[in-house]
Amino acid sequence: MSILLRLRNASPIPIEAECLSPDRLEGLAVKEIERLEVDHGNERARVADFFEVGLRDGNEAAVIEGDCSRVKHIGAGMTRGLLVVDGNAGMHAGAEMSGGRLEVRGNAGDWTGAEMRAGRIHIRGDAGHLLGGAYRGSRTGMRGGVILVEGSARNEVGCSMRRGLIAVRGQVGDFPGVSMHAGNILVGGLPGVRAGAGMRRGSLIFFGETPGDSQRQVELLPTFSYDCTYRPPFVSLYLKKLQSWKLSLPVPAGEGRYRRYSGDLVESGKGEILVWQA
Amino acid sequence: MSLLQIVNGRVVDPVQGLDGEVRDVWIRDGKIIPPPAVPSVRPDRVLDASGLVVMAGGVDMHCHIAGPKVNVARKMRPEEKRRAEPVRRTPRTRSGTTGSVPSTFATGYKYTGLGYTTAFDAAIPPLAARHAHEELHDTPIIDKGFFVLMGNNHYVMQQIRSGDRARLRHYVAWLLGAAKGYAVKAVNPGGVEEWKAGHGNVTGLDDPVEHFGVTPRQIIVELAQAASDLRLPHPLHIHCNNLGLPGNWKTTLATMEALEGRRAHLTHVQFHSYGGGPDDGGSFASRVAPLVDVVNAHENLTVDVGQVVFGDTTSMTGDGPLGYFLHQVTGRKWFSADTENEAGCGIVPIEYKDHSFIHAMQWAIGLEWFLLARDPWRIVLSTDHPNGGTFLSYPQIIHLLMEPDYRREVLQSVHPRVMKRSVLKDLDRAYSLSEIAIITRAAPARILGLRNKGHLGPGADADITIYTPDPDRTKMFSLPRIVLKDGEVIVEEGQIRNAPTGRTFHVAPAYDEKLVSEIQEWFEEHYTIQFANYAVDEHYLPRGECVASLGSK
Repeated sequence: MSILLRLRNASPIPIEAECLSPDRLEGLAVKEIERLEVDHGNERARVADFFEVGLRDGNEAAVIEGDCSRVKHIGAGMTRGLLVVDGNAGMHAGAEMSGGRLEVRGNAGDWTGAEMRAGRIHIRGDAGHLLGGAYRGSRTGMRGGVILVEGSARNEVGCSMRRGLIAVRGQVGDFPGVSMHAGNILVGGLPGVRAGAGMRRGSLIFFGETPGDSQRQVELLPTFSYDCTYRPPFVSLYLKKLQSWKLSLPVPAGEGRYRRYSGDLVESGKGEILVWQA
Repeated sequence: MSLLQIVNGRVVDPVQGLDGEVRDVWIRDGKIIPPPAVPSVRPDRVLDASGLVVMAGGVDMHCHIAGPKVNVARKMRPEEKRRAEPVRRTPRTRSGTTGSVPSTFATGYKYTGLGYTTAFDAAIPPLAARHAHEELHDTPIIDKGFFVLMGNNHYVMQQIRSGDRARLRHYVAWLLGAAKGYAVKAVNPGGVEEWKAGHGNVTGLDDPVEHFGVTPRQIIVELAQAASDLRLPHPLHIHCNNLGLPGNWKTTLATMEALEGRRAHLTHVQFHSYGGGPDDGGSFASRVAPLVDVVNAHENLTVDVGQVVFGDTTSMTGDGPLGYFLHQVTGRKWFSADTENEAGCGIVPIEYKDHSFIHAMQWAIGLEWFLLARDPWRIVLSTDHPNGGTFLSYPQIIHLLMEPDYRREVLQSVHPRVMKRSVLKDLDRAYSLSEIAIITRAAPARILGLRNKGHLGPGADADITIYTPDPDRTKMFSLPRIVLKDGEVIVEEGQIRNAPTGRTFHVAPAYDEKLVSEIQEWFEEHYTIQFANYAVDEHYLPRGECVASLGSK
């Protein structure tokens, strides 16, 4: 049996619900879950004020139904279990999580998976800004784990990330991999401007160029220098792994070659950007 | 006209020579009074302190709690604020954030909760005095004040070059009054301006400060002389050149010698007592011994330690080149500011790690100072909050000083080379409760020239901390049983009962009014603000108290 929370009172005022994680919900009776505290704007409220709580068949720890785009911190800090949001999730979903799986069937807000350490987040729709990023002031963003996005993501994907994998099937906004220390970001579409600005190590891989279409080229900062065109074997392995997680990038694994650029030369220059060409 | 009697407490007041004797303390209208001669006098209220230790409120003579650099540090470290336990709002107190740089209201509450009732910010550029006063306005309960940065002030250096001692003295007096500051502070005298001009930091007392034609030595001597001539309650407060650099003990020694008997306070002296070569971290060593000998032998010198405590904190300093140095060493984020004509500033987060040889040596060097200094009246407990650690770590330092076994235990756990490089392992001295009372209250009050602080004799402000004795000194000093401010119970068992406004101490030494128009002329040529907007008036000090010059009534 899994816990079912159905949003019945969507509020324009954000709800902060760190309690909506498998760790907190596990072993609680329906009545107890209803009494869990959430913040509603500057007031205290209870889960039951917004959600209808029940049980349903399934192996998920919990399923949250409805448009929760104003419900923040869903699955934040979770360490185990499967949490499904059947709808949109608000900001900070899966932030600082260190295990388990979070599946968002709609779109996810900003800071999804921010500073996460381990576990897997799968977003069927689009993700917001700072996916797997570092909170303001922090030295490191995502430190491990996997984030998969079937739609697109906005600015600063993987900001200051140190380890782990982010794969976005569609486009990403400006500054993907900004200040990243290490880790891998795979993007099926094209990035916005200033990809990899300030990156020290790690790999940014873009698959979205269309040959012969000047509008669909990856535009890089002048502080990235071209090295060579080759076929790094690790990319095929990553693509196969992504397929096993049911995320397919628009590229046949093992085909084509990649232009390699080193950067960011204003930092150590030990990072790389790979651009796939058919 | 309420009369309060604290009965049966074990009073530790080194000024009166009381070392745990059971005495009653009588308080009327916020001041301590002699016990009534007539036994029939009945107090309005009695506080039973049986079995408890009664001391004056703590005095922190060197910390960073107000002004632009503190404010920037607060904004610069959201990652720390996010995890630090916040101060929650109560019907009597406001909410606030903590971490290494607490917000204003939280600073007042936390100091008082610790039994400290007076604190001085150590580095305010006069141009930022208004900002500092506004923040102090929002720092409740404690009495406070600040020192005014003058060691890199252009007008000061110009007067020194032209050898015009009288004009320098008048300017210093005018500036202290204009800023409503308390004492003269020199931070890396000359070095900050030299670095700001792009010439690199100075390396010793006799390096020229280009463009100004003076040397750090001249700045130190002339400011010490001016402070002395003005008979300021607190002498020149010096942050020596070359802070934090291996081998800097020679500069510190030269500074002590250059003073030639003039009174001065050398601050966070731990950071200035390093041996070793500049390019060789492995040769880093303690040079406390030769420096402490000089301090022991010279009554004109006082120091505070600037103890390092292991953990994450924020370094903030008026020493611009030091901020840059720390940024280079740690690779952490860095803020630098140039206060026109007056000062610099550097802020860098820093984590002191016990397994780092350098950090563990800094920790040991601070403790060496405490344990080797012979006269507790001339050494003061400080962490240079938040540079070496936050003021909330004072109880831990007291524990290290009072319990040699605990000290040895910690020494065993830090980087092993410290055992070889520091004499700390051979120092068995244990501070007594009375000596702790000296270095945390009586001595700083005396060095600051605050006659009504640091003791419980008649006439003193009734700022009183009552502790529950406990062999675990960290516990004892972290959570006083009761704290009184001006005779009013403010803290009981860590709970803030009331949050009145504390005093702001400042000085107003006399100067030649005729020179003001000349200062104004120079000012309007060089500053970006109007002269009329520079001086801070009384309105900014909700409870200002002017402290008279030495020797006056």
